[in-house]
Amino acid sequence: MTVGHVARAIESIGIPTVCVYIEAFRPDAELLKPARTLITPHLMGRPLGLPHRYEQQRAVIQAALRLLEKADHAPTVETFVS
Amino acid sequence: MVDRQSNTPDSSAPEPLSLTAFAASLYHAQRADNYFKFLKNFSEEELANFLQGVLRQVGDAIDDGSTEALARYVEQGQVAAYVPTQTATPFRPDFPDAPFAPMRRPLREATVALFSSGAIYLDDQDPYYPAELTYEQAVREVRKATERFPSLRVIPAETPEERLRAGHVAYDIRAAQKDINVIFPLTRLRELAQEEVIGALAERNYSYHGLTNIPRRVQERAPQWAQMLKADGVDAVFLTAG
Repeated sequence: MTVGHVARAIESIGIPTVCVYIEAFRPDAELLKPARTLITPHLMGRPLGLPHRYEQQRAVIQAALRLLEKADHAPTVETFVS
Repeated sequence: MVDRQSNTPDSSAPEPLSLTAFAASLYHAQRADNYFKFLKNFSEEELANFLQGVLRQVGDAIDDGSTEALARYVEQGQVAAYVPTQTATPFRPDFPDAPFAPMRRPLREATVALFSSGAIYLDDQDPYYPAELTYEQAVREVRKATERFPSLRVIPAETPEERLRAGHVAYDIRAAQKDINVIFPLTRLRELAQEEVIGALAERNYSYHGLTNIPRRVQERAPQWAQMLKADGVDAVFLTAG
């Protein structure tokens, strides 16, 4: 959950950020309010999904990158649906 | 199969292990298991129901040759165990504001840095936990292991993934050991840069060891880390949490 603190510090000096959190830590993202958060339905230690699931990993990353561009306010929280 | 029965009471037999004591032993203790340590948060009744469900899902996974439903079941259990614990505290404040910086250039022209709390390090760097501990000891002795957190490691963009290690003592690292991209997708981002989805992967990427009981120390260092990224000239930062 501590990346929320880091993202806020980065964002506050003018650099946009996106955080990938797992569903179990959604409340952390909602409290800390980093600018952009993508919530994934994955297990702790595997925010991008399972090992060697190349397409799943790419899909999560691309959803997070899209959030970087399309979010027009903070906090923006989006749920990744595989 | 031998049915082990005895009519003679054995005074040396250990006390029966309750379900809740078993679950507690998974949490950085005797049977430390970061995959299932969330079971500590369940009541005895919830534990019994969850474990019965796991057994049912294991049976289906064997019969069906698919672990997808089992994975979803465990993930839902983890969510049910953790979500109620995440209330506002001084270390997890309910911030009234949310700093916002818009993208200043299109993604296909932007330099993106990867930044993770997942305790990723290079094979020629020290792990985050003290060198006198094995990884397994560090998981059991999490207080001692956290003395050095949160140091920051620089991970160059061109690092081959076989040189990356995960040393986090509070999440199960087995998936990251099999494929580091599950938490530190350096290779995936490098590919997206080659495909011109992003302009470039930053030359310097970073990781530290996040832990929920040290956010104050992270908060203190975060402004310095932000200035490093500014000096690196990155246009955006992609953060992953364990």
